[in-house]
Amino acid sequence: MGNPSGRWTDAIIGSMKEALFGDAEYSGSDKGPANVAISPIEEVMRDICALGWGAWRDYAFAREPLNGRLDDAQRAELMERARECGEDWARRCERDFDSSSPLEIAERLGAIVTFAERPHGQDRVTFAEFTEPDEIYVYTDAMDKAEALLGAPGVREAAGPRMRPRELLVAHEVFHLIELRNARAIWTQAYRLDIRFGPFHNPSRLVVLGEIAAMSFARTLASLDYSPYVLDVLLTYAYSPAAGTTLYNEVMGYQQHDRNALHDKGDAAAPTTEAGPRNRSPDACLQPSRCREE
Amino acid sequence: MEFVIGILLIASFFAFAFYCIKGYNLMAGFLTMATLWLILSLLGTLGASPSFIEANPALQFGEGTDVTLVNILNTVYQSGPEGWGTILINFLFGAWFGRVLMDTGIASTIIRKTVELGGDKPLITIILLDIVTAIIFTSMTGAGPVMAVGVIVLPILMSLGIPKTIALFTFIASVGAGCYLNPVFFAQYRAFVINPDQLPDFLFGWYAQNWGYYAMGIMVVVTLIMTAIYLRSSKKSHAWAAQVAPQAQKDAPGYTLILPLVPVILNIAFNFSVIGGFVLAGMLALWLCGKFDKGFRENIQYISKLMYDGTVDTAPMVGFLLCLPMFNTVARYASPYFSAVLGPIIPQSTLMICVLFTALLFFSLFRGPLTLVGCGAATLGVLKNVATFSVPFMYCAFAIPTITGNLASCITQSWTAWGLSYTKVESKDFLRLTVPTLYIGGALLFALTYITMGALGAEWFV
Repeated sequence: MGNPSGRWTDAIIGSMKEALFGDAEYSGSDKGPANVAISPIEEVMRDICALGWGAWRDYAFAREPLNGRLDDAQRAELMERARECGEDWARRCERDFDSSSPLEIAERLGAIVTFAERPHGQDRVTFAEFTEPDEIYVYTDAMDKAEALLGAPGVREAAGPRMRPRELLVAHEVFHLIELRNARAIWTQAYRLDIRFGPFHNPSRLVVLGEIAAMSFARTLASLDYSPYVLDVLLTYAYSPAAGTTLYNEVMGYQQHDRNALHDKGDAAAPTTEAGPRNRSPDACLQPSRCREE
Repeated sequence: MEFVIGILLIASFFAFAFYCIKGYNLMAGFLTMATLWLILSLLGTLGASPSFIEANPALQFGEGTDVTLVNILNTVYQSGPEGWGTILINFLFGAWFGRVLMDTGIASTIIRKTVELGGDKPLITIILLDIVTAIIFTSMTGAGPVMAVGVIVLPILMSLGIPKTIALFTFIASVGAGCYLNPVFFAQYRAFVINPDQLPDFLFGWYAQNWGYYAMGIMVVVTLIMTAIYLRSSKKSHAWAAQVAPQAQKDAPGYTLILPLVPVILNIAFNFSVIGGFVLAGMLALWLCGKFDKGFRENIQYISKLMYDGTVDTAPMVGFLLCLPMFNTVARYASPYFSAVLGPIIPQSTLMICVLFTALLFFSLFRGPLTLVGCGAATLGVLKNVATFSVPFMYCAFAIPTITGNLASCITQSWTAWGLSYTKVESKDFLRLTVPTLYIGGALLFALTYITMGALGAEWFV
């Protein structure tokens, strides 16, 4: 039992002090990669490989410069349309080239594929690059480390036998080559978001659509059950577990956010199913898909 | 003897330039150079001709004078760094304000809104982003804010297909353009030319109206034109990259987006103190953006944390900034020897100085003899002793290579080094873009300097 003075302080002064001065502990400390609690790679891979296509929506669109001009319904719609576009072009490539090997398709398309070692910083890791008109660079520095990680117990089981980073990276960049060659016909290049500033209109492409469709293209060629966005986390983790965990936390944070949003709306359906959300907005400004064979 | 000492000083000067180019620690370099030059200068008085000593009061000490050797040592090692304290404090508050703008989301909101305005047109987006970046760096200071804005701007530019080298070049160059109108940098470089209490009419407002606005405008336009030229001859690229820094942040209220300009406007319009402007605008930013939503104690801790982060941002500069004044002070004792050797060949006219400095702009790179944040402090000391130029002219003549050369073009600049690492751009590729810009922009700025500062009246001389 505390002394009377202590109880009086707790009851009156304590609450006044907290109201006036707040909690003595500062809660706004840095949550950056340097301070993140590192999650085990098996746990990371198990969780992110279980995510469906639509679960990567917020993560993907967070990297879109015009994201602030979209609402959730539009993002969900575009995510799905981009998936369809990537799948369609992957099927066409498989049919036309009689192969699902990204390297072979790249070769048949006349692309120059270069594998180069490139050291990375911890803040931004570049995996691969497509330089117009036909050069594909795949950087092996983090990829080699990722291959080693995939050999760790539990990781390969989570990722499955079809997870081949090198082919996924090439496939992703091959899609950008296809986008360039079919700029007028492909949906990712044809779609325009109408940005308005007062009386002014600025119809703009969304760069993220090409990225999402490239993921879908790579996923279809590799017959993966999950999104190749998994590589963002895996390759970054391979280079820096703290940075990889930060990305993992970001992705999983979006799932929590979506669950909360659904709960608020009283909707029981989870947004992470394989088919993805189909909540088309009636006023969404969408062009008809032009993703077709030429 | 004075000629021999002069030659030795010049030789050590080039050795130091080599040291800087090799990328060794500048703080240790300036401390060593200050000591070496002091020893050479004092030893020189033992064998110099009496007429030389008589003509240079700075070298008169010991018996028969009021100055002792200890006085000289105290001037170099104590008064020099102490005198620089006022500049350092400006730096710290500038860095704090930079942190405030980042933490409140004001800087990122400005960038995001600008990008939305540009849509998917790379050149329009670059034009808007460069202008906005230059404007916000009129008040933000230090490597931390440059990096914090860079992690937003650079991925956006690269996602639009702009090659990473051009993206980095245009961003860093626009940061440099903004530095021409940054009161913190003005105070710092002004202190190289004269003591802070000298020539009180040489204020930031006067400088801005007569030179600063034009200099910033010229460099923004040159950067944009060069970027457009580089883009025309470049190949578009798309990178698959993962970035740790989260981009999602709540937008700051629209009316707070003007706050980055408040310290500069207050200083120019009312000669309001720089630090006062930072504190006022910073507190307003925190309050209007709802950052004071906790109790008093936690809010104070939050402000302290921002100051801590800002101080850390400037930490690499602090050691350098505290040893640099020793070197500046010692240049006073060394410059008579420089004059003995270089006096007859250094141009005495403002036109010739402008032409010579334009031709030698390459020496502003790698902490060379034209940048004040390298061994240009010594060049300034020499120039001050062998010729007579107005203070504003001297300021501008050295600000051009320091800002456009060092801050905006050189790979030894802290934020550029970060940018190279972040974007994986090769140093030589970056320099291929910056050096032509340095010469074109520098030539225009020296022309501006000659026109606006070349014929100032006697009241601008010290």
